Amino acid sequence: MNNAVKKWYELDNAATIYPYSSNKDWICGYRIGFIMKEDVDPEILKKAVEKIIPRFPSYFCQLRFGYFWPYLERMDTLPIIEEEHLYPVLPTPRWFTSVPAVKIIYYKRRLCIEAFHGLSDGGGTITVLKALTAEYLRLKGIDIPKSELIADIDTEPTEEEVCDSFKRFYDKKNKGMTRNEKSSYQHPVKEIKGYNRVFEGLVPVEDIKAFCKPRNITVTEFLTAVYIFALQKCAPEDNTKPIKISVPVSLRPLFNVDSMRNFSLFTNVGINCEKGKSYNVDEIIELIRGKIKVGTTKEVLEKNITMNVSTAKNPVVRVLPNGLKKVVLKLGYKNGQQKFACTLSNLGICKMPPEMKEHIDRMESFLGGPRNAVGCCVNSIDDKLNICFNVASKQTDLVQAFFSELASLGLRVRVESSDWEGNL
Amino acid sequence: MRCRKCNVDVPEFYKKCPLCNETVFDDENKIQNIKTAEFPKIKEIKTSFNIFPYFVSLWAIIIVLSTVLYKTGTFSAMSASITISALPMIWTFIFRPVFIRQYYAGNYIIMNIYPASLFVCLSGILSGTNLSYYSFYINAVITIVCLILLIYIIIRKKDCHRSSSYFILIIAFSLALTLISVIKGVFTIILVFPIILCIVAFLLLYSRNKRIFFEEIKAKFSIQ
Repeated sequence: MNNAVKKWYELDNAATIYPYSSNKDWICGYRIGFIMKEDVDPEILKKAVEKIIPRFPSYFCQLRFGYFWPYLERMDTLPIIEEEHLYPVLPTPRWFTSVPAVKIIYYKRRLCIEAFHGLSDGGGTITVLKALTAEYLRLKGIDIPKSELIADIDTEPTEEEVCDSFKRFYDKKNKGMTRNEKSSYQHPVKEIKGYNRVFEGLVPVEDIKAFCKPRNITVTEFLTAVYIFALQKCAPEDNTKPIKISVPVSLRPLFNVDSMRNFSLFTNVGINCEKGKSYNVDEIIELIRGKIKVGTTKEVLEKNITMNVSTAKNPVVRVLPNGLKKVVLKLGYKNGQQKFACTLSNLGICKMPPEMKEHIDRMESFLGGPRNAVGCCVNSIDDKLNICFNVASKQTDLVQAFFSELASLGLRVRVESSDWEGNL
Repeated sequence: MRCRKCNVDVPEFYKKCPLCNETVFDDENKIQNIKTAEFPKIKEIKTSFNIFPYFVSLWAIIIVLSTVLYKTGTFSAMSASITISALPMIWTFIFRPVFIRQYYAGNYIIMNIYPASLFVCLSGILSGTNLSYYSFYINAVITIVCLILLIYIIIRKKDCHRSSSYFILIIAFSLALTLISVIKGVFTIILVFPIILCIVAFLLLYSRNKRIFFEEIKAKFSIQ
């Protein structure tokens, strides 16, 4: 039997925090999906899911709690495949069931995956989503050729895909990283339990390029600057706390790893605030210019990996019973949340063969946590950049500030929401 | 359609801007060729009240109460129960976080009432109070309930993972009770029930799927 196919998998280093930061009613998850050009056929979708499950053994798993650590149990059952009837990325109890901690959702043209973050990060879920969509289209009779851009479901999963890449790149020599960081300003959101509203802002890629190229900045830097500006606009005038955004970085291209588990870290980027002083977007761009690059160099990330893995390797931490670990890690997670105001996750360009692209209109992605904040996720296919927000509240101040600032900078923006007036 | 306040385009059928709730107007400069990806109409979800989680603190109350009664001398005969309060403590801080899944009725019986009954029985035996007089009946009834549950699990052939956790618990608690009683030099007829249950549970589990059972134990006790 293939060594990559196991019944139980240890959680990877980045994933260990998620079971502890979640509770009975809520798990830290996210949604990534495609908006197809035609309505999704649920019967064909079910068949496609059945076909891809064996290819991703570490993905179609359920979370279990061991005596010392949580772990993943591979499930042979189908995940929940249902028509969308709840709010997107709604905190739903999905633990302790006999189905994988993944939900396949369809609604009209929408085909998406909602997954528990402990299974994989956005990079891994995109791989599964692309394989699922390709298989779905093939079953519909469309010829999708095998390509390097899509995982081949006829091949066996490799050990590299299922192993914890953090442990692989852990090197004792890479020391010198600390967790000391100033707390960030926190945007107050009046959370409504059981509610989640999403916004999709479509921006033509040419507009973004026209803005970024002359200024010599990346799309992530630009959007981070606008996000910081929006937060500054919503913050009280006497705020003196720095405004920081957490920007996740995929380590796969940097370390040349083809992992199906979590393999990303994040860097916090922000500005210091002074009483009565406010910056415009261009000034913020200058302040954060290069900071993301500096925070995501291989050396810094290696140090970060070493710091995280050595904490988990500590003998005391390892033998601490789960109940006590939960208390400690929950506090650690809460402390970590104070270091940034919001998250901006740029999944980048989703590459796929042109035969497949023909049938996909656009991509959408939403972050499910942290609960009390506004999450932002960016992705692009072809000429459409989709900026997706989710808010567990009816409050729209921050999202409005973000999109109206983009528009005032001369970019064309088209906003869609899950709760438009006809839906309310 | 376009919102003049936010300066953004919105889908054709929106009457108000989703960002500022202002009325939107038709505009020629809108982004072309974008079809709206509709979201379904969602009904407000009302979260139902679940009483079971409140019973989780049952053990904490037992520990605190027995400690207070013992310390204040109100009920000195409870001293022996303090000796074995390690049992619920282990349950509260170690076993419950490991094994608890969801507050199903059957789960609740095994996870809370069964060990509680063992605790009460043993407190009674060791402290020599009247409690021991009733403990036989309490334990017998609860053990029979557990036995019925065991049969139910087997007949229904519920998923292997969950039922094996039930089995593990039955075995663990029965063994713990027997061990404590033997150490204390107490062995009465009431221990026969959990011991029989323990043996039956173990044999059933082993015969059902011995490979998965031991692999699961390995996964559960892994220190990574």
